[in-house]
Formats: sequence, structure tokens, C-alpha cells
Amino acid sequence: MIAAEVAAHNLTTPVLSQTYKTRKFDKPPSVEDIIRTLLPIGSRSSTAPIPLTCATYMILSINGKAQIVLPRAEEVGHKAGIETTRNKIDLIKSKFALSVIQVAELFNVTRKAVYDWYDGAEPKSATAARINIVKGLDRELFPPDTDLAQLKLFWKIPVSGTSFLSLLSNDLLGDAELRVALIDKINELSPRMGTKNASAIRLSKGLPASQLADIERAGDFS
Amino acid sequence: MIESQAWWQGSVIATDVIPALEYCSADFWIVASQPCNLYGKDFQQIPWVELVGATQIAVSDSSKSKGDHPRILHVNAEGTTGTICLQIDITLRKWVQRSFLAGISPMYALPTRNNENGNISSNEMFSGWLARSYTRVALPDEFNKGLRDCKIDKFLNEKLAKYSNKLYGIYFSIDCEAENAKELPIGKLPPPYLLGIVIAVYEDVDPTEIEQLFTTSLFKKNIPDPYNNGKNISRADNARRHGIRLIEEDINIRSIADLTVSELHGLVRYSIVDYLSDSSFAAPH
Repeated sequence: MIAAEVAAHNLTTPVLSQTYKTRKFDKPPSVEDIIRTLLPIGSRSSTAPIPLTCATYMILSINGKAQIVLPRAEEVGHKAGIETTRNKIDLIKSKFALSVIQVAELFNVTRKAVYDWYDGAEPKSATAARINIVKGLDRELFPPDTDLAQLKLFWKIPVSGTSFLSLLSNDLLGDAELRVALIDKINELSPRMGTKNASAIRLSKGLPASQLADIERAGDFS
Repeated sequence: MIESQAWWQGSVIATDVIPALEYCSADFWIVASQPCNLYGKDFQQIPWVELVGATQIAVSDSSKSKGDHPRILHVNAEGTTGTICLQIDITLRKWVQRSFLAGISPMYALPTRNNENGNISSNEMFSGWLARSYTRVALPDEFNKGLRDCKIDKFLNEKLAKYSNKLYGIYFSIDCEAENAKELPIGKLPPPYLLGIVIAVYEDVDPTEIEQLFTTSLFKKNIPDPYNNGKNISRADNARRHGIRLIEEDINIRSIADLTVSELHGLVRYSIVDYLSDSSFAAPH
């Protein structure tokens, strides 16, 4: 009989260990069996090297011996009141209507980095700080008709000499200073980001699709 | 004279009308040159007109009539004697002297108006299909193989087939995991790959139904594990085995009313048939 246990451990209070789930196996289980039966539905392990920088992580023990460390612990984190990077990124994506590519652009990281965050990896501390700051840019801080989903349309434009993106990647600003600067920048962009009446949408069906290719001519202005 | 004979891109002539085409394998030839080149007054500067060969067929195949196949296109051509169905072969190309057109009239023409279903005209289909043979982005062989081996291509084809009239297009964002390969063109990126999918739907389509189908089928609904008898695996996990990494958050169903040109610039338009072949097909036997 093989006893497998998944427990959440907290780095800041090592003695705190909350058993998440236990299971007994009659014969040696495969790693896949363990993951499937013990972890929350939809959990995946990552093959990427993952530094243990998150506060809470999960240890899988077989017969009392720790075997595998799995940092992806949304449910445990949620129960412990800890917000994971995945949750934060989801919130930012929702608030600013961003795709994964746009999240990578926002935080000046690779798409792989964002994929790894979704697999439980933790960002570098500077990036983590920026994620927290952007997450905290709530609608209530801005004029009522500011549509945050439109920020991505203007975040590269250097209004008053600096774009939102270049401000966010400025290493010289402290966290508090950066937060104020970003709020000011969005307020500056706010008139462009107003919720507008949707223009009449003409159905594209039946229109010649090949006209779209005319947009692609990079050489027109060379 | 050429203009007065109503020559146009998409005009159709029979092989036996032009002596230079007498021994060619096609029954008909379709004008590929644009009208500005057809009607140019300077025959020294523009001496030639480009033709693409076609054979007459009884019935058009729907899998070849939308411009997805890289080498074959089925179209209807209309003339005074009626309508015929043609199979155009992109590999059959001829250039003939433009002056030949002056003395003859086209027998048929690919219609330039949209059809009764509102779909684009055969003429637009033809010109777009020709253009794509030069502009289509080359994807890495390993990516194409991985897509085939994990059957994501089959999944896309089968699952999306019933929504075909609601879809504007399928777009991929492809990156590789290797940090030092970012400057390479897409066709040379090494595995493993990160694959994001954008399915663009027309303005009057609700994306949520398709989104639900997609994310459930890729990430939640398991299929028999091809490598472990009796076990199941998600399509996404199976794809990862084959070097293609998918995450739910990078699968998006978007209305084209919402997509910007800027976003599309970073994506590769994907058509199931376009990318079936890889460079091994070019190897000598």
C-alpha cells in the first residue's frame, strides 16, 4: 500500500503545513496518476525550471518522503488568501482586455514567460512589482467614461514625451512613484480612451477579401 | 483593341485559339495579368500577358473552391454559350504575346460580382489565391509535423467545419521557447513552439459558443492516449508531447469588429490545406 499526500507548505511559516488531499495506491502510481487524482482538476506540472519564490507551494509525499514539488497552487493559495501570479494576470487581462501577446508586451517579457506564469512560474521581482502596480489601477481612479480596454490602443504613443509602456519599463522610478506616474498617464490619455458610440458595423461577408492585402504594403512610403 | 474585346483579369480562352499554347496540357487558359497591364499602350514595355492553365471538370469540389488548396482552384466561368466549371492548376503558367489578344475575344470569364450567397466573386477568389502562393508564410517543418502528429490540424478542420460560414479566418501566433532564436524567420524557428490561436468570426456571430467548444475540446475533454493504452489525455497535453505548447488563455475567439490591423500583423493566417506539405516534398526521389 502506497500513501501519497499533497500538502501545501508556506515558506514564511514553515511549520504550517496544510494537507490538501491524500490517496492510497495499491501499486506504484505513475506521476500522471498522482497528478490526475490528487491535484485540482486542470492542474498541470511544468517541465520548465521553476524557482521557488512563491510563498506557498505544494509537496507531494510518497510514504512520507517528499518526491515532487509543484508550485502551481491556485486553490491552496486561494484558500490561504494568497493571490497567485496567474490570478493577477487574469485580472489584468480582463480589466484591460488584453491577449497573452499584449500582456507580454505590457510587461516587456517574452510570450514564453507569460506561458510559464500560467504554469505556475513566478516572475522576476521587478516584473512582479509592476504586475502588482498595474493590477491596482482600478477604474475608480479615472474619469467615469474612461474605457481601460482601450489603453492598449494608445499605450505606445509618447504623449507629453513619454508613452505608458516606456513609463512602465522605467527602472528609475520606485513603486509608489511609478504608480502615481501611471495613473497620471492614463488620466492624460483618458480623453482618447472614452467609451464611444459604436460606429455602424457593416458586414464583411461578400466584400472582396483581397482588398485586405492592400493594407499590407510596407513599401508604399519607402 | 484589347480593351474593346473586354479582356480582363479572369478572362478565359481555349488552348487551340493561340498557337503558342497548342501542345500544352490545359484545355483553357485564364488571364492572370491585371487590366492595367492588359490595356497598356506600350507593347515594348509590356509585351506579354500571363496565363494560368485549367481543365474543364464536371462538378466543382467544395474543398477546392475556396482558395484553401495551394495548387488547385475550382471556379465557374461564364460565357455566351453557358457556364463551365474549371480546375485551375497554379503550376501551369504561360506568357504569350499581348498582341494575340487583340484579334480574339475571351470565350468565358470568371464572374466579378459576388455570388448569390454573398461570397466573394470567382475573380476575386482567383486573384487572391494567386497572390497567396507568393505571400503565404512558410511554417517550420517541425511545427507542421507536430501539428499533424498530435492531430490538432485534424481537430481544427473537423471542429470548425460546421462553423465555416461564420468564420472570417484562423490565425496563429507562433513563437519558439528558445530564447536565442527570436530573430529567425518563422519558417526557421526550432521546436518546441508556443501556439496561440485566434479564430476571427464575422460581426454578426457570437464568439462564446465557438469559444466554449474550443477550450473544452482542447483542454478539458480527454481523448485516448495514443502512447498509453487505456489511459486518456487532453489534446493540449498531447500536443505538448509533440513540441507544441498551448494554454487556454491564448485561445481567443474574436469578432473582426474587435480585431485591429495591429493585432493581425503579428499573426499568421492558417488554412488547413495550405500547410500540409513540408520541405520533404521538395526532395528528389
